[in-house]
Amino acid sequence: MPEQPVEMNVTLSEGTRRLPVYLLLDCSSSMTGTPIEAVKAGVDRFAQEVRSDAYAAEAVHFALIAFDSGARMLTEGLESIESFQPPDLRASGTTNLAQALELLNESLDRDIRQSVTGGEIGDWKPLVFILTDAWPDSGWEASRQKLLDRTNRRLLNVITVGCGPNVNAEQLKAISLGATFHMENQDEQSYREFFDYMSQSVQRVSTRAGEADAGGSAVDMPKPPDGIQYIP
Amino acid sequence: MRSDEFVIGDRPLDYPADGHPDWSAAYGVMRRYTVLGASAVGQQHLRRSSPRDDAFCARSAGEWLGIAVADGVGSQRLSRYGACFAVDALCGEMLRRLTGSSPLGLTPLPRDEGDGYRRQATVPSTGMRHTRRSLRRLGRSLTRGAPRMGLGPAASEFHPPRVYTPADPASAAGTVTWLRQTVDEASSSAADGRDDVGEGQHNMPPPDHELATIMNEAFRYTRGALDRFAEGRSLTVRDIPCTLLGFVLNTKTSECAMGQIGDGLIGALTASEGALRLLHAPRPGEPGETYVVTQDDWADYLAVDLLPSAQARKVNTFFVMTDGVEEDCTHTPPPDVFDQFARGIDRYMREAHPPEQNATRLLHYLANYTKPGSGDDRTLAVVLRDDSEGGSRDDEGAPEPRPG
Repeated sequence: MPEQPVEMNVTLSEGTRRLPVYLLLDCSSSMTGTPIEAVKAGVDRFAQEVRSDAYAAEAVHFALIAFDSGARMLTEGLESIESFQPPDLRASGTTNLAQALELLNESLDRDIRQSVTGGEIGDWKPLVFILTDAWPDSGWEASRQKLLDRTNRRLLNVITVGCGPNVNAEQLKAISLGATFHMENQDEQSYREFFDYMSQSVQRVSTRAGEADAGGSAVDMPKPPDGIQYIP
Repeated sequence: MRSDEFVIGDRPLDYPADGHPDWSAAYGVMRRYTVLGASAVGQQHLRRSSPRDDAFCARSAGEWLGIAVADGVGSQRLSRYGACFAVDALCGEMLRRLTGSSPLGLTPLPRDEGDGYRRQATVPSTGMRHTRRSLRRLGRSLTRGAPRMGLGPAASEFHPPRVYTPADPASAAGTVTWLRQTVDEASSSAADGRDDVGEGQHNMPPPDHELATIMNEAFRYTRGALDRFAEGRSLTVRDIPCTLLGFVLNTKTSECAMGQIGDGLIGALTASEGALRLLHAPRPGEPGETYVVTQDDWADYLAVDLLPSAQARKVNTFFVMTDGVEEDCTHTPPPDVFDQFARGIDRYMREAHPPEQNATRLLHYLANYTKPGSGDDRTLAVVLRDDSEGGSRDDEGAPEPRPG
């Protein structure tokens, strides 16, 4: 008998299950200077780190929503991380988190693929990171409630990260649908650590996404670095 | 054990002793049916140096063939214990209820010596036709894709492969396994793998051909046995969660029954209708989530169904698989992907090789096919019916020699 089995060429499904990752970025005027520059560098670094992981690079599809006095999606819906190009970011205006959450809701309805037995392969549960350094403008509560009220109840992983001294821990927790973190400093190093942590989290989730979970629990985040505190 | 009876596949693990192989291939021949089973550790597991969490078992008794597969929940590090125990318990209980005989259902899978099985790595005149050298080379071929995935040399270092064949050379069945060096193998002198599965509570009913009832009761029994297994080791069933799929086939009448909780697939290939999913078990609807036999309300999510003889006779091949394979062969495009997959597997497994070669070939395929996003354990059992004149088996049990 042959010592190496003869190869088998068998048809497999062509689709890939994607891991949608959203980043909602505070680009209000308080982010002017070092913070916004560090965020730009951090987004680029995040994309490179995720691309360097074979599994994550195949799975992660990324959308970037910037919010100031308004909000806009800076990607064409969910883009493959392999083809994502970091946009230019500028800081001005107020903190319209409500509109950012509306755009997120619209994208979840439009861009997320649902699983159908025997049909197209659906997406993994989306990961959402919200990075903000200030109080959001009023009206965000209704938009957040819309996330909670989504009929398919898919969204469990909204991770909120507050940057700098002006954030309110209780408000961060109120926004979040998962873990809440606070980053004390807004220097370059701190933002680099945050984006490294974000890429590690995404890689971890992409690795474990294939493990069946009998409980449907929220994502298991890795331990954050010292400069980022978990808010229980 | 009669020479026409066999038990192949994974062995129950006795916590905290382990030794769950990373790759396992098995075959068994019964009348005109050949069972080929294979289970390969997922590439994500290789990457994390974590063990395989899937398990499979196939047994024969009387006229009946039983198969079970299970997928341990990856987020629970001991889930492979549940999976290995569950497939053994379910297989045994399904056949015990169908044949009314005991202690087949309680006997653990073969250990070294005893139980009518022996472990060997050399070639007898029948049985697994592999030399020690060829088994080692096969082992290395199982991690052929390791460099692409960034896995170090440790992924390709194995303990010596193990082969289990019935002591009776007339029996046509066997299992061969490989285990990575990086996964600790417990002492083989650990506690007798035989577990107290409530033997004292178990009456021995006469053969009961109410197949749906038998399947339901077999799952119920297995869940109870899992409770006792966990309790006896200071664990709870929440520590060893797993999906569970069971299938029984009467090799004379062709009638069959199946049960499933959690993801995975039981399917069939017919000449007229192509490939079909035979059972639709409830799903939570969220990728990465599943129901498990160890949850409190498991019975609410158990699906059981039958295939009457008239329909089953049209089936050439049955498939039982965990979701690691199901995910890769059922989602469109292409629109007829499962049909193409089933026909492809069927074609290769019917090529004129001894069944043990086809079993290892199936394992090699599961271990090495690449698909973006596919990193989970992969387990697939295939039951082939041979309708050729040379494929019939002596009903007294001794299989006729197959052309080599």
